[in-house]
Amino acid sequence: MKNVIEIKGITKHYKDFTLGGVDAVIPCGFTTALIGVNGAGKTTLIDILCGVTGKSGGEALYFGERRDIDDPALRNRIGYCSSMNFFPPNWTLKTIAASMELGFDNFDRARFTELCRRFKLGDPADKKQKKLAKLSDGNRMRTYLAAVLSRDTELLVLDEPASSLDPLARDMLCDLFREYLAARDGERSVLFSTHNISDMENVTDYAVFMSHGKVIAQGFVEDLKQSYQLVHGDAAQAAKAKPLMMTFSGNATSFEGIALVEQADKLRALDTAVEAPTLQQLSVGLLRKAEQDE
Amino acid sequence: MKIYQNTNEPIYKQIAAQLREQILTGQLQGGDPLPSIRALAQDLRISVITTMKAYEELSAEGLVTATKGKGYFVNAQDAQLLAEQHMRQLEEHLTDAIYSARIAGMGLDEVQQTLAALWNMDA
Amino acid sequence: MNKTLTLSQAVKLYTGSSIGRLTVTFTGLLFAQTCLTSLIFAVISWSEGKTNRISDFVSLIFQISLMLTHLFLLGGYMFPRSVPGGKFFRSTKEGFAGYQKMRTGVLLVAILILVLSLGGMYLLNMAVPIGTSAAAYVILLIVSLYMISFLNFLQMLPDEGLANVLRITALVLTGIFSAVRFTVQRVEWWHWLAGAVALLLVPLSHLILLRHYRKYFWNT
Repeated sequence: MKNVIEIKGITKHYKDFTLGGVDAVIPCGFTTALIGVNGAGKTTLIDILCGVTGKSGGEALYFGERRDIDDPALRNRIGYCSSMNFFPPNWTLKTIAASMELGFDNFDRARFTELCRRFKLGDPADKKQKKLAKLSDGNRMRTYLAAVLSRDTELLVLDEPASSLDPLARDMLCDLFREYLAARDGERSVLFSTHNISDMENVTDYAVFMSHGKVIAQGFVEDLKQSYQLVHGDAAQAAKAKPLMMTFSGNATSFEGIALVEQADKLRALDTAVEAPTLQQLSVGLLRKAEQDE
Repeated sequence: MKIYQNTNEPIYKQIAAQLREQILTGQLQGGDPLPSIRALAQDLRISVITTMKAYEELSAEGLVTATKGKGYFVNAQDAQLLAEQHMRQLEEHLTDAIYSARIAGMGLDEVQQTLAALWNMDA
Repeated sequence: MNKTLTLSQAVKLYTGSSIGRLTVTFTGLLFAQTCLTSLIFAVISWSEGKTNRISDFVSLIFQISLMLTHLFLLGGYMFPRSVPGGKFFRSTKEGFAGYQKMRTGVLLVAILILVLSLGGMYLLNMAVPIGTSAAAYVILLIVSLYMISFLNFLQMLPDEGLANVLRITALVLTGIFSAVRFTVQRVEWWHWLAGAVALLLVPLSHLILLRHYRKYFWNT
């Protein structure tokens, strides 16, 4: 299995926050979700990986060979987009097209026009252009997506793309990821960050969980769903079940939590329900545990 | 292909089951290509790892083979092996039928009558 | 496909206008502003019979307009990461190299405006004599070059408030100095020396500013 990015010991020191050391891999040919609460360090890590912010230490290997994110050839291969305020607010589709063309070698104007039409954003060639500031959050995000998808890249890196999108648009975003991956079968990868994975579960292949600036777990979703199990049962068994579980939350009538698969048999013997968790349930469990451990 | 998102059965198992059926019934012949894992994921609107796991399961059973750079292809099926697979499926289905019959309180004669009626309907 | 950006392309990426367009626009505005206000003032003075003030006024309004233009060009274009567009610019293929080219392009615009507007005013002066000498224009050129370097250095001040106070001070001094300066009739040798130093200081201040900006602003 090839990796599109290998992250080794990346750190960044801010006044009131430290990222790192981060060690992770992003597998090639799949969609990876970087999951964590707000403030966990997802944006900082993504910014560092795309050369938008400098790092204090560590290194990243891209496409198995390149190390220098300031190399224009490498930057051309990566399609980065932030969540809000990516372009200046007074820019229009026309100015975006002009600047994207200058900023990168692989921007396709025809594709941009086609995507703008598909996302119902207008035409970059129109005489009358609408400024980004006048668009809704959702349409602004769609504009950013149209711009970054108009480039022929090998790695798409999106910082919280789903946050400003409604459920219908999130569904469309999932389709866009699949379309992007299928177009160059096996050679393209997607990395996106989110604090809420539920709407994006159907497209996520690999997950990296972050908390307080560190990676707490990572793996292919199918493997994670086998390593961790969702446990729920009645309050009567709570006391016996709790020590076997990794995370635990209970009330007067029932309890629920995540346990390692090694404990599954013991837990089943206590007359509890043990099953594979959804990625959302697993996220809540892992992130809650990280909060408690901190 | 039909998959159910909200049941307990993992999606990759559903895909594998349906493809397995297609191969064993001859709908997919030896040498036929399977859709690429990403194209299938796009069509079914699921994750790539799910289709990949389904294909890997079929590959482990010897039903398909991954060719580097070209994708997955159906393996030519041994006619006797196929027959044995079908025989096993028949036994499974009959076991289920017997279970249902017992719950319904049906006797062996009644079951055989129903079997004959259905068999003739199909012919 | 290994095209690197030209200075004008870098400026276009960040601002949407080329070097040529920025130069023409700003120079045009400068002239329009100067001529219009001077004309109004001239009409008023002529009607009051005090025509000796006109040349003072023209030099004042021209110098202030020029200073404001330079303030705008050399006080902005910082594009911090937090400002909309900041992240996009930092992710482009040339990254900081592209930013550097943009700043150099904008500096070029400032110098071009300076030369064109002075040249234009000199020609205008020959057609409509307002009592200023050719020497005065040379002095004005030299002082403006120092002002450009000064504004470059000001961008490195960590205290933004102090920097703005100094910018306003410079603007005020420009106004005061202008009326005095236009009485110079001859360029002395030490004027030329000061001019040479001013010319060297411009690219020097620009390079120092860029190095400072890269260290403390671009990637932190």
